[in-house]
Amino acid sequence: MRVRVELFGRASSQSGERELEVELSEGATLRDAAAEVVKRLPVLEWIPAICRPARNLEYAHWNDPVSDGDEVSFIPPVSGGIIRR
Amino acid sequence: MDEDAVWVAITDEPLDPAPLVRFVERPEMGAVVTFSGNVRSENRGRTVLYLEYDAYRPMAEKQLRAIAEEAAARWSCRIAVQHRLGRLEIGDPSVLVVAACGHRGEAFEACRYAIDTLKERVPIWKREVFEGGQVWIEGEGDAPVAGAK
Repeated sequence: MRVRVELFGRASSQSGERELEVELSEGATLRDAAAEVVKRLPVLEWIPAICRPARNLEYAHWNDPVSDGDEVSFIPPVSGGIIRR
Repeated sequence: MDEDAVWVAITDEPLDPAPLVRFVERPEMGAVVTFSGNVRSENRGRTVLYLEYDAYRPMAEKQLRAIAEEAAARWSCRIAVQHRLGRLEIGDPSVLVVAACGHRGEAFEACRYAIDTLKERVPIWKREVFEGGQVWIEGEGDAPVAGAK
């Protein structure tokens, strides 16, 4: 299956990418999606440690499964904010 | 809560509180509280030159609307929230929250809730350009703009 990954802020400025598609096997989770992104763009290795995942515009959990056609992103702590996991 | 108790927008244009105030005002609303978050000239001991805001726009709009609707329902108020993106100079408003309620207590609370919650969960980030460098502001921490962590 394929999911679309949106990158913003530091992730986008470091990688030079705003959006990419990743191919994942059935049963893959948001953690797998992040691992695939880091494999393609190693400069983003900080994503799994720092970010909260989002799926289809809502915050989600790393172990949540993804589905074909999902829009996924990894949200660092927002500008004025605190980290909530 | 009526359909149009909230108005939220993410915009590239300069912010003006006047249309937000007009949106929330109603004869039964005796209190209107306006919060304006402006670009500050100093941050963490650095002299700030300007800020550049970036957002995950569709998610930011969705989260912003959810926060405004929560506040409107909880305090029986009308509320308008706008956040600006792109390059902002010192003193420019980056975010406006305007809440109208029957009385001032609820209006202050609703306004406070909306701005505090926005800063926790709306996916908007700022790159701070200061004298001698630049950083992405991520929560309580600073992160490098380019290169690995």
